[in-house]
Amino acid sequence: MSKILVVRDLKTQFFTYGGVVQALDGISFYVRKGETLGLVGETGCGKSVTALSILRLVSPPGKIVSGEILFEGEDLLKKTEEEMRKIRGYKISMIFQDPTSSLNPVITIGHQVSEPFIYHQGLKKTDAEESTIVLLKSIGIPDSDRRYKDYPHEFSGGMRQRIMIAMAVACRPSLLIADEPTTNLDVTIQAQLLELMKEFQRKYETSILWITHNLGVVAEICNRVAVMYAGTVVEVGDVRTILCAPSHPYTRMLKDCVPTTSQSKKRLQIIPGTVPNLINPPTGCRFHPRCRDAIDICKTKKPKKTEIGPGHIVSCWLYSNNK
Amino acid sequence: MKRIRRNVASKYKLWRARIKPLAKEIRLSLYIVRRSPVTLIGLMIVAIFLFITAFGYIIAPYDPIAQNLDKRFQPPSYEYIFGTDELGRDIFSRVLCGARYSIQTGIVVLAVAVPFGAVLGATAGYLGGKYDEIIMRVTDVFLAFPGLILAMLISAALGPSLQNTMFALAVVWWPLYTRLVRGQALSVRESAYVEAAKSMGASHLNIILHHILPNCISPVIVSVTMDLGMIIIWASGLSFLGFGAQPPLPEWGRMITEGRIYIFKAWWLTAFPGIAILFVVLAFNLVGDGIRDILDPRLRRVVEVRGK
Repeated sequence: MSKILVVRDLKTQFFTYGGVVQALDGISFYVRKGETLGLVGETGCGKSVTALSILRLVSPPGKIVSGEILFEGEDLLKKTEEEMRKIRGYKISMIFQDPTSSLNPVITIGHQVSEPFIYHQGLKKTDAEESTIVLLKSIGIPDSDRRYKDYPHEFSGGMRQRIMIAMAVACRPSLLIADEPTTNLDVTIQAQLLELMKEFQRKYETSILWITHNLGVVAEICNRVAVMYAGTVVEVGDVRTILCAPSHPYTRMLKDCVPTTSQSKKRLQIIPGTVPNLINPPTGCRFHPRCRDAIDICKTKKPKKTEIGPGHIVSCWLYSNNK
Repeated sequence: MKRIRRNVASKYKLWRARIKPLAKEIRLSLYIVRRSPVTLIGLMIVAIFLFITAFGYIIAPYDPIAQNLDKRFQPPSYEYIFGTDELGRDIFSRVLCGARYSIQTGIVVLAVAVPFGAVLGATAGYLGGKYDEIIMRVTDVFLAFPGLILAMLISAALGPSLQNTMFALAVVWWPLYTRLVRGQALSVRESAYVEAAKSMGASHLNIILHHILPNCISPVIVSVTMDLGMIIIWASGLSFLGFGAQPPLPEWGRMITEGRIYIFKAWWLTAFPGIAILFVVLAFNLVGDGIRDILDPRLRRVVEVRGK
């Protein structure tokens, strides 16, 4: 399978009054055509910044400093703003975390969902309306020809997220970035939406970059997983490897934090310490202050990427031969 | 034939379904207005005022500019309800006909100043950076002048006439709307739906027109109703100073100026146009308050829940 998105050494920084926040410190990963890559990590580790960087929507004081983002073989960082605008919502689109605030409260949902049709396919208003009604129906909004004229506040949370998904998939993008789209929804709705996304993916061979901190969702929908910690990608591998036999100490500890039914009598594991301040990140491996297995070299030198299995890459000195 | 009828019926059904939420909104708005007697009074005065604006020349008992020198300074009586002025013209007729010039000034000034100011404000607030700086510094220059002085200056430079007064007032008024809308736009541009629109590939123009402006509009609507009254006062003031409407036009401010000299001898020359201005401005302010209540989503929600 060909790689549709390749991110190489991406560095995004925020130039704030307090100092330079190194939000992304040279992250690399790729997404193959038709697969789902899960981007997992704690709050503040740079998952959302990664998503915004790919769409080049990082707003000042944030800035993409270096690296490359190859989408269908072309570097998005070299494109003009106008070219990017034609890609957003057409080739790459994004589903946001909070459907309540991501829909404009004073515009009907029909109007909002029809926007991508008008921007990218040059449809006239009436044609766009028809396409929108069909789209809304396919995404599971009952009575879509009537509800087309309703405002966002007249929908439930799950329906609103369906509408957001409809907007994102309107032009059948080849890459879909989903930024924790099911976080605020209850599990039944969550399951429905995951099913919906899977169906869409099967139909149009869409690649999905699924950002989440929920390992259950990862197990459900992802083919491969990239684990992020404090602006770095620490481990990449297929979903089975990462969830069943993780190698990086952080991934192992993260997995231990998930409550399971079999160990109900035991205390829940935690990772000691907090996510580091990214203005002054720890030297060497960014995880070493909280790591159980830290050795001396971790404190001074950044770990190299090591391939320890087919497609299984770990950035950790424990697995590196050339210390 | 049958098919056509069915077609019409389905079209009507679609139309009904479409109009339903709108009708619900309107009914709710009316309900909120009904609960506030002050707004209702304001609305009634505005309605009367608009009626006079439209039909003033028809319902006026006398020609507003016809002189009748035998009947100068007649006090209010059955024949002349508001009395007559120094040239024997009927003041009641003149007040009725004068309504037209007041509302005309108000509407023209706002129709120019609001869209201009709002679009500039939304652009400044949304784009930020150097665009914001440029637009807002120009706005500051206009705001730095005392408004009335600037309006007088422009009116004087262009020559006194009603059109020039309108232009002058529009020049004075747009910066207020730029400020108002910019402040709103600054908060709206940070909202998630603007980000979402960007991620859909919307252009700056699309975002300003579809996402920024509609979300900035409710304080503007309130402001417009209040300002309508203010502009009527200002236009009258300019006319009073001799810049606006020229004689023999029955403009209210102008009538007050002309009656000023006789105020001790014949109070009715100034009193009735003055009262007319008072009522109209008051009415617009009351309606403005009412509209603010209608547009307040929190109040709306409370009423909606209670209404059911």
